[in-house]
Amino acid sequence: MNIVVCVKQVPDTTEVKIDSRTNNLVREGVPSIVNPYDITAMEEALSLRERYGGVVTAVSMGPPQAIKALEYCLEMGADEALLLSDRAVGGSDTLATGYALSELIRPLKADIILCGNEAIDGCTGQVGPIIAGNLDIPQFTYVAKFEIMDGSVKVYRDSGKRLDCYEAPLPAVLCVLKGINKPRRLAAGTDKTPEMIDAARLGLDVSRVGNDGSPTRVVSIAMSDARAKSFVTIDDSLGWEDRIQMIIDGGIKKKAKIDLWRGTADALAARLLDIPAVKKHFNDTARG
Amino acid sequence: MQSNNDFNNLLSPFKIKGVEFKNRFIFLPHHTGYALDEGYLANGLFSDRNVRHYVERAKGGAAAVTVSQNVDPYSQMSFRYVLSYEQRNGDNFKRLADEAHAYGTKVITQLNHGGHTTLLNPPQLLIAPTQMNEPYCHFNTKEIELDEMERIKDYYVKSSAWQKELGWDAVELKIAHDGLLRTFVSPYFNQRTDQYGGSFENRMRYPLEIIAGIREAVGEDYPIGIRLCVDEFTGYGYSLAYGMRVAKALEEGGVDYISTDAGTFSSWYMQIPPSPLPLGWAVYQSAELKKHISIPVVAFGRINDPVQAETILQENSADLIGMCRQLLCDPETPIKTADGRLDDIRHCIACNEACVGVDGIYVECIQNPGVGRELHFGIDTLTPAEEKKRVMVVGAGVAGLKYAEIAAKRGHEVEVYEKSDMVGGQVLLAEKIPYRVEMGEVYRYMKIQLQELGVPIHYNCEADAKTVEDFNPDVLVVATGSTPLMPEFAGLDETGISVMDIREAMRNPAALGGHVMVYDDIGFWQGAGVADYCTALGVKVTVVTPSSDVAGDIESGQAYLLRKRLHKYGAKFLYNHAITAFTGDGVVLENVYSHRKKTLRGVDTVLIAGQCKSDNELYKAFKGKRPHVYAVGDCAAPRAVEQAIFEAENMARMI
Repeated sequence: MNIVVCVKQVPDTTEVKIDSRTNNLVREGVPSIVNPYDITAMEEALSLRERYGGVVTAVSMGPPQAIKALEYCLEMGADEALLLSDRAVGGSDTLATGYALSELIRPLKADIILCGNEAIDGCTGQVGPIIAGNLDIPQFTYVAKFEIMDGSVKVYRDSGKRLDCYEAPLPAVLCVLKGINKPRRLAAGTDKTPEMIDAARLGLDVSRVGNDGSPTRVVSIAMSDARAKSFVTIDDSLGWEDRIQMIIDGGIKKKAKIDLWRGTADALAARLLDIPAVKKHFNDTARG
Repeated sequence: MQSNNDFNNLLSPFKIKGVEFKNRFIFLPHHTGYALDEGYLANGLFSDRNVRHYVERAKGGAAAVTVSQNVDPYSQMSFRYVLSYEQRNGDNFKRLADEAHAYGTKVITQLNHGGHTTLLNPPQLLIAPTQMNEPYCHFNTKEIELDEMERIKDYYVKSSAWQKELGWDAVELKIAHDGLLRTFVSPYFNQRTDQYGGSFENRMRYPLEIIAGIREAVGEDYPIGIRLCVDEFTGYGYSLAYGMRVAKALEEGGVDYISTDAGTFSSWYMQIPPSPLPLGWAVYQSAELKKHISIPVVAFGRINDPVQAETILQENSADLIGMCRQLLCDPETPIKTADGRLDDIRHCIACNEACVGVDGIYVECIQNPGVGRELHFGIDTLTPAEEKKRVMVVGAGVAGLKYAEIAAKRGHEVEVYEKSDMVGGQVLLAEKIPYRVEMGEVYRYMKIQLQELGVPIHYNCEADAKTVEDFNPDVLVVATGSTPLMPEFAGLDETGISVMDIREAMRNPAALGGHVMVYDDIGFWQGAGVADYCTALGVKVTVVTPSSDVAGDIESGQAYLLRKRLHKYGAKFLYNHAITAFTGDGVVLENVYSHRKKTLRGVDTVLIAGQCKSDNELYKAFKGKRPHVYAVGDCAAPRAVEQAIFEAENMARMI
């Protein structure tokens, strides 16, 4: 079984300080660690290998020093580790990173790709699903548990209120939650070293990575009130009626007016089918 | 069960000057309307009813009760507003101090001069710093003269000193939503050019002179507080930033605490905030005060629960918790908090139906018939039944539930039969109206009581004659409610317009269609409230009423906000018109004065908010045939929650 684990080197957020004047993260002197969610994914991968045999490959993208994260994975028991490191991919956002990693993973012929559900520095949880999108395979987030079956996987997804159960063909991307297993202690040491790979070797489309390939823009970073209060403060500079409305609305700005339709199911369906875009879609489908 | 430790702040004592409050619950001042009016210069008499009203809150465990009073017998807001220096009040003032102190509760004097605000129509001579009316009413004022200011100041000072002598514990002045002193600090109302107007210092001068006068009379150790309006919520008035400036000046002037307040008579829905204003909405104002001043701050504004109150104290948003309507609704809130009986607390739902109401005469409460009737319905007035009877209550609407609760508390063996699978009756519909969801507290409280008393409720069980015979109760209570009456209209059979009563419409909103005409023949929530419900669903609404107004029987704060919502969401109104007939595609309406007719077309549905008929078949079947058969609630006569609860409680106390 070919098992791929995506890992990320992140700053230890328990050590991060915020500059009180600029509100920016102070990264100086903050130790780097492997994203704890990814360590959980590694543990799942190693248990799979124990049960079904095969190869565990840890992959990452980042600056050369990110090799430390992959060394950690090898010490945990990974068979191989690949680091995509290139100036061209510097500054990539989640879209670009997902593309680059999918190109790194594609030749590995993975049966299953495991990711942490999110990284503790950015907390977007987007890279796993983007990889799956690029590889055109199924993906699951918030995975609490999964079982391998013959050529497919049964996934239990924690939706916050209940566990939803799905079945999907392999290969698939599974983004696992933290705390679903107990990661093993590091082995006594390993003679393996991670392999460095650059953009050219993968044949990456450079317009899809780095700053050019990243549509995300950080417009501003603001400090949230450190201690959430249980009341809403009303902006005193508003007019009196706006202050009252803001109080009544609990401080929440009303969204734009929703065009609400009412009627029987038949009447609503008829109205829906009257929308030009919908009509066109159905006509195209009928012709196609 | 909650433990005491969860309310470490709320139940802890608090000291202001020489006075120690045993916990943080403060019964906020209010005009009760209970003072006696025996004619000119013989009114504002502090009655036995007044005394019992405040002692009830002392019994319930409040740290302090605040008694709002009028200082000037020649300028009263109401003749039923307690007069502070009326010598005939001395005995009852002293009695209140003695009886409240027996429970460890402090008594606070609140002094007010109505100034330009009044509840009288027409009023006595109104006075103000500058000749100007409060915009909500057209009665103009006399510009106050310096000798009058001296005379009024003298009332403030001698009232404070006298009540201290009688054993009261603190004095508070009202610079709040009504009264003379706010008009002095207000840059809009105070346009004087002498030493009492023009600059901030000059506007503060008169209140500060009164405070200095009181201080001299009562001494250093006697707390002087201010109920302060920090935001007037009007287009011309001041807002929070100015309110903070006034608070700071008052602190510097020797005041010992500030009790938060907002709104004015022209924005009265902010001073006694009805249910559209969220719970604890004004906490930000108290928190802002805490940032600007170091003297204690009392929070206000729909605080109705000890967990909420404790949170406010924990977050240091206030030092004391002001409750008015909550302690009307459940005077025992503090004691129940201390005992950890949180489910047992009856929460104020800010309906304003009885404490404010449309008559504005007496403070009452739709949920607690004991408000203003403490002598009969107050704490510890329930007597055990002399003879334990088997009581069968048919119908679990509010009247049935209240009867069952009171009968069971008196030791009767009670069982309730309900034809649906839920308790609450019509309140289940009323709570669907926008901003009325808290109405559900009315039945929640009683349901919890029945659970604790072990009273069985037989759901899905429509009691008929056989059920009654089988149960064979000693007492049969029929609380089967009412059914809307559909008036006879010509053309009703042939019209293509769907015509239904409001209850049916609320049970089946999918049938409303795109344009609804609400025919409001009642003036209460069934008309305008249901129109609001329809607009919230995105339906186009036209309200037609024979009256000159909609929501005319709804308390004015609720009614104002309700009308505002209806207008905002584009509802159309047609006043002074009655339905005369239906045609194929229209409703024929007739002007009730001119009798001119017009036809309203294009409506899909007409909702009739009108009269109902008592469902009293079961009652009639057994009345006279069995010894004790009673009809309560709508089954007796279709009315509102307040009457249903009052009558059910009254009747259940008599068996």
